[in-house]
Amino acid sequence: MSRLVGVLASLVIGVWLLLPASGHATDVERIVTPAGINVWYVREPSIPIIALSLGFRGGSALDPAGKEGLSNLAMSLLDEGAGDMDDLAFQEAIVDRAIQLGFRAGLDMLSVSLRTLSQNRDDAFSLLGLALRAPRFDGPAVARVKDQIQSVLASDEKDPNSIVSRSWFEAMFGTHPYSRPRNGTPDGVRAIGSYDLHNLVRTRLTRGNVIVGASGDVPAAEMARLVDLALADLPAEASPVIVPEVVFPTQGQLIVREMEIPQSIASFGLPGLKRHDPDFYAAYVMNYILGGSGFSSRLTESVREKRGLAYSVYSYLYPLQHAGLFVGGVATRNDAISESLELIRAELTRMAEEGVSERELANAKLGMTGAFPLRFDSAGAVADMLVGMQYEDLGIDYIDRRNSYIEAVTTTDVRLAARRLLDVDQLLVVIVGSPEGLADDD
Amino acid sequence: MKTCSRPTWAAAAAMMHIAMPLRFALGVVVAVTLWTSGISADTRAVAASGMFGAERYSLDNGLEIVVLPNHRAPIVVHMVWYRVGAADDPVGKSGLAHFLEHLMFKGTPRYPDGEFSEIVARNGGRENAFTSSDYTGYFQRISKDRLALVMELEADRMRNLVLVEETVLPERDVVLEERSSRTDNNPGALLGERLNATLYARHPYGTPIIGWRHEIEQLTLDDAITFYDRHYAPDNAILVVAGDVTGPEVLALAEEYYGAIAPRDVPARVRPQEPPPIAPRRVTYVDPQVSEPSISRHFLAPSYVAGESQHAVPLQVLAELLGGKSTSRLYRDLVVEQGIAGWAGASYRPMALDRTSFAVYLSVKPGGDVAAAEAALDRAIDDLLTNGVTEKEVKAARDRMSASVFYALDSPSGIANIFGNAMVIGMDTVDVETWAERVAAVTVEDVMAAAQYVLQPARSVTGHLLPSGSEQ
Repeated sequence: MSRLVGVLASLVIGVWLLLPASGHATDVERIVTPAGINVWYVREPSIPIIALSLGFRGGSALDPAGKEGLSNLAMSLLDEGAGDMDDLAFQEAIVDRAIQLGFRAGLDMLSVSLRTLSQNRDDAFSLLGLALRAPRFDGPAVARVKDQIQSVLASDEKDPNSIVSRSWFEAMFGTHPYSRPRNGTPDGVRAIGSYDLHNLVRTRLTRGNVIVGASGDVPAAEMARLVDLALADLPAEASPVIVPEVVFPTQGQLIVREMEIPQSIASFGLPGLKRHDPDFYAAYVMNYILGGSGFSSRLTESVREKRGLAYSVYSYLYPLQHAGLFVGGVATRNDAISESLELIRAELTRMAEEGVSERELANAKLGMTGAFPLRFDSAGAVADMLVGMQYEDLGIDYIDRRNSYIEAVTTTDVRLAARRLLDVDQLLVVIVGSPEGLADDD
Repeated sequence: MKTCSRPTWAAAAAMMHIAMPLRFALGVVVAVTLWTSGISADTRAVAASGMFGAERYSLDNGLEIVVLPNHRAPIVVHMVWYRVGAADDPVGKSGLAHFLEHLMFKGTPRYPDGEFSEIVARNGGRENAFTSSDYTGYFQRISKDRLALVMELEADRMRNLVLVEETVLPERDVVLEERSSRTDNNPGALLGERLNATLYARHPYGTPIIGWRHEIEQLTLDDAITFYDRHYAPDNAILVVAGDVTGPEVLALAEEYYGAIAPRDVPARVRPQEPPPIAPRRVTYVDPQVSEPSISRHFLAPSYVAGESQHAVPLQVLAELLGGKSTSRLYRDLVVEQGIAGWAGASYRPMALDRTSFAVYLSVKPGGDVAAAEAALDRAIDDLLTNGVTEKEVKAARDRMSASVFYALDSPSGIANIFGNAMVIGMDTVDVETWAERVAAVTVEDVMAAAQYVLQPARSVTGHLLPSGSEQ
């Protein structure tokens, strides 16, 4: 559980918030281990590092009502003692070997990342296996990590960025399990017991439920051996993942959460598209031009470059298993946030009505296809992508095909996707701050 | 999990002045015998055969060049670092170096406003820029066959930037919004500013990089142009190229694009220095946005190149064993055993041109007693100074730091940052290449000498960040 201790100020500041990016198209091997586990693997012999990423289907959306935060707590505790090692012994075992082990609960998936120097690989994979198979959940460790999570929750209650995001997702998702804060609720975390934690491990962290991606310097057969070292002894089957589809609100809304801060922070957005929607790539290109391309996006041009109203204004597509979203954000001084939001509405409307020009589309395609290899510049980034490709069922040759999907998008596709997606009357806007001059306040 | 907060990645990252605060996912860690560098026959080349294979060149106009070959992917990171940062802002004009960083995207006669970024984007590149107290940097990540293109663009704006009111004034508003997002909306950052301002009585490290709001508001077009003309020149810059390239390739391109820019005889950086610290200081900030108290203590400390710099590497080992990971002294003692803190750690940034700071910090558990937590921190430090550290602790810390060098090899951007930062404060590539050896040589006695030197109350400022209603 990492968090910012706020008093330690940033010492380097940039001209622009970096958008997520990162990799290189390479040969992906499909390995089936002796124990029968499928692994997608990219070998990179030049660097003595191994990265393993795992995804277990079913995430915090499965947390039982009343025990919100169970997935997050369980994942946070996997490296706090396992087998015959208590928390200190386990931590020393990984820290002293410079093994990097990360566990995270997403809405739809539980994720694990392991990075190790190749020379420590046997220890690293054995320790991972122990953490997944036999976590101890000792009382003192559970109490300590619960306290840490409670303090994060308390801090989130007062942090304007957390409030705006949480409020937006709650309003969008209504009573659907996606609406619950991923870290849980104070009552939910308090109510979680030892049985719940062990039960989650038994029913979710299984061989039948795992997706495996890896990149490293060892031959495929060695990689197979290592994966079995970690995963062969997991339980075979998981309980089924049953999550309902999201039913979105049919009305747009403006929600203001008053807070005495100099700058209002806003989240805005709409229902979007799921990953396998036929319009997904058209929408993806549309969003790149609208608010997904940093300096060159329309939102940045209008709100930041022309008028100096924000440091950061952006939008992105957020496809989940049971809902798709289009989400954006902006932060502007209180007396001008309404102007920023008006400009954003105008850009959404213009996109829905006019689409994009041939030149804009051509530039976007060059940018998006040209930048794709930047996503593969580290072993961890490659392993993560291999899990994502399997999770979304994109095919083992997706890396080779991906740019052709972008290339195939036409201005007509973009216009149709924009019209389908960007209905500004439906827009859900949440503002945290002391905004002034909102036209339809309340 | 549980390492609080601070990017205290031991080795490679700790050598950087600081984590890039943007969302720089620097995977850090590295291996030792990986690369042998291509040895260039060029007489200007000093090719080191260290683990990073760094090659160093310079042009006649004074431009320094570092090449870091890494052939994992067909991409490059192209960076230009200027030896000017926020600590070089004129008095009363804080934030000017950072403001100029923003303005560097506002165009030249050849590539008018917006075109730089548009061209980089259209070519599949990603770009950004950053400012610290000691440097200002610009970079692009892009396919290796576009290296000449980004060099041409970057060289063009080294000399030909055009600034006009119509683009400068809205950008000043952008910077004010940036200040609101980073600092004014964030109580921890607000306290951080005041802590620095208190730690440094005289040195400009006490002034925020982004600038004080009332001074940013007064920055002008002329200020920016004067600053640019004075500091932006090849003899005040370092070119770092990492990725799928060779030294001779980079050198030839650099000659072509940067070679024609005349030097400007940029004056040496002279900054006012700190008087000897004689009194412990305290800063308390109360804010309704704070949910639980936290305590941090910063000690004035030497850097790799300033003050008692022989303590710098031992101080890195000290930071690692005291507060680097969940097995560290402070975490075990204050969080696990005493249960008085939610998190605890230490950090140290040796890569600074002038004296820097060594920090320890903790968050007080909800409902906990702030004074008792601070007393526990005092005891932990006293215990270390009185009873010393063990050989086992020092060895474990050294080993972890050495291992971290391997992970750095996995990330061209991360390596480029480390070398750029080192060069900008006057270190040589060899200093980075041999860092792991210096770490390996650190003894218990070295760590204790460094701790005795730095962990003195007189050198420190202690900050309390408190929720409303808990005023002392």
